Amino acid sequence: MSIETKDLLLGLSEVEAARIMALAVPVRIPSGGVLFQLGAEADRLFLVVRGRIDLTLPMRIREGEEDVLLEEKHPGETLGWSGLIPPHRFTLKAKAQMETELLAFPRAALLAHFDAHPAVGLAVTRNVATVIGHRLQIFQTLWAREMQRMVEQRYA
Amino acid sequence: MFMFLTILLASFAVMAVCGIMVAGLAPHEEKAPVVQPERTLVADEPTHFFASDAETVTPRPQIPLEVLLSHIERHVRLEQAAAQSFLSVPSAGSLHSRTESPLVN
Repeated sequence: MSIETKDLLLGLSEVEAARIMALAVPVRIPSGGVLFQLGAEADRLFLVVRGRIDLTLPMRIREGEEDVLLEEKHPGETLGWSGLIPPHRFTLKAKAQMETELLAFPRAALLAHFDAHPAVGLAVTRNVATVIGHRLQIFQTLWAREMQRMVEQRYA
Repeated sequence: MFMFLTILLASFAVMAVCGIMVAGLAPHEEKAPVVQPERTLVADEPTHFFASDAETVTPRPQIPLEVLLSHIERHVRLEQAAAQSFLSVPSAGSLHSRTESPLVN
């Protein structure tokens, strides 16, 4: 199975990547379908093969609650890293913007593979850490910008 | 004379004691209640102490929900682009760069 991965399998040889790919289970989500809900138990990692997944957070607007788009995941990108990181709960909602195909990597299968191939485990964990680190840096910056605006509005 | 003065003083003493007792038994005259002026709210005093500023802000005319959501999503995209720009070249200037977001301006 040859699928371009932009983050999850970076640094792995073709053989190592193929072994990881062999652990995956294909998932198809119809347009508008929900891949996972905010707060749901996260027991797998996903790789987008085709289509697009929107990651959203709920926002209370007027009388109702609306999903606000935070991030889009395109083919080759990984999502659902909460599947590998405790407490294993999704912190966003994932919804298919169009009919979308993904590969799901069950945590148990991944961890067992990492135990058997520590070098692969290190490489994949490092790739996941890069995704998490980037998200952290983005949100840290967003928070700092929001704080700055609040200070300007209230205490200028 | 001495006896007369003695009787006179004794009479005064008895009358004084009677006067005190009568005063003690008589119903007390109710004092008129002191009317406290009503406490008026000072103009700059918050009417709801715990109310947030957001609640006291004059409501803006509501825009359609779809428009508001598109503004929010545009805001998120612009802010993420600004954050990405900051992460590429971190500096105080790029961290607090101006935004064209309709939610802020």
